[in-house]
Amino acid sequence: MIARVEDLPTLPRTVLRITEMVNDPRASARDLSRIITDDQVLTARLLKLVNSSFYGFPQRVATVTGAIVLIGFDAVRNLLLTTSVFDLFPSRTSRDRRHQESLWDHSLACAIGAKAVGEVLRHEKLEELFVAGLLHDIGKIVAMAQLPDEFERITVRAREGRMMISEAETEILGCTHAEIGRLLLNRWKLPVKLMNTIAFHHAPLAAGGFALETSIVHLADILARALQLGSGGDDRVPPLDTSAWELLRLKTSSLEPIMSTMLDEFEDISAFLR
Amino acid sequence: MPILNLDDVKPGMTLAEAVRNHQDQLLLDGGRRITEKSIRIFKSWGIRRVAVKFGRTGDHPGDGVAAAGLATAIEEGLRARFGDGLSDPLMVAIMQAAGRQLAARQKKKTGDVRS
Repeated sequence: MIARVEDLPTLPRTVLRITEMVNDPRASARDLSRIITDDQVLTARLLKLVNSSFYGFPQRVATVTGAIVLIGFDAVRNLLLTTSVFDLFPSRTSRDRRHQESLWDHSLACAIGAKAVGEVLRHEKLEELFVAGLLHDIGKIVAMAQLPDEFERITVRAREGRMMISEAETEILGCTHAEIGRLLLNRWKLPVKLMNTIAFHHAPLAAGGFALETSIVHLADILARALQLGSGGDDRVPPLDTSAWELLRLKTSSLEPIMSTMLDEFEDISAFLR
Repeated sequence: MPILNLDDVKPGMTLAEAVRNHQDQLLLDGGRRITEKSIRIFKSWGIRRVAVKFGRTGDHPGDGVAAAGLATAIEEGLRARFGDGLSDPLMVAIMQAAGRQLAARQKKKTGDVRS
């Protein structure tokens, strides 16, 4: 499986150019706007997102430049990136499509949950948490697209063996979706923080300097599973890592309002991202 | 410290934490009494939720649902999903909170269909 990562699709040219420009200190909002407006789909997605409840701006944002000024370069890059990623792995059969849609719903719920936890913790980079949540299971999307039969065996094995999908992946593929996700993000040269958050979302404290963000995604993954929003390929709710919970310093009483937010925002944001 | 959707916030409640707009401007400080005017201001800035202090009986939106308990079908489904993890009190708390939320949504959906 690891060898097959070399065959994975590259990022769309526009998203690559946007990524480069975000890293260029001389680039202006107008430069970035020019690249985005060349692509009608990205333009529409960005304007839909900034006008959704995700940001909740009181007035309508009508121009791409306005959107960039309001939410910042990094946020634009990350949001366009995530909305493009799922297009790169088209499903071949209706069975795969069902799996993929269900996984997409789970990823979106995790993203909303990560942002909601971040809000309670007053984390400064809410949109980074959202993106990490959205991409945390990208390794599963890769496995599903590259090895659909093996992925089906993995889900059956997890269900029948009453085990977590990671255990079934190790048994059948010899590696987990978290490792595949890390390889993919490394290939795409995406930020180390995002890469580590995805690689360690089942063992957050191993993420070192990014343990807090990884713990947030770890919790959001569990809450999304508890609320049965989509499916991560198995129906189990894994145990919450005790060290991650201690690191978050959340009160148990804050969990229900976070879940309520997740349910509230799920359908709303889902409509904007599809 | 419960966080309420703005639609559930009523004049007379007390704000537990300061509310700021996306430009970080202070709209209302923590500890202040919420008025109709402050709710209007929050709405105009797109604020969706605020943290309030509970002082009056009936303020808690989950009271009714909690009293009703978990619907059996939801609880059974959740127990199967959580499995052995329920030996951890924190996982039990997560399961119970999820159960209340799912039951409340189900109740709301049923109500919407009837009305």
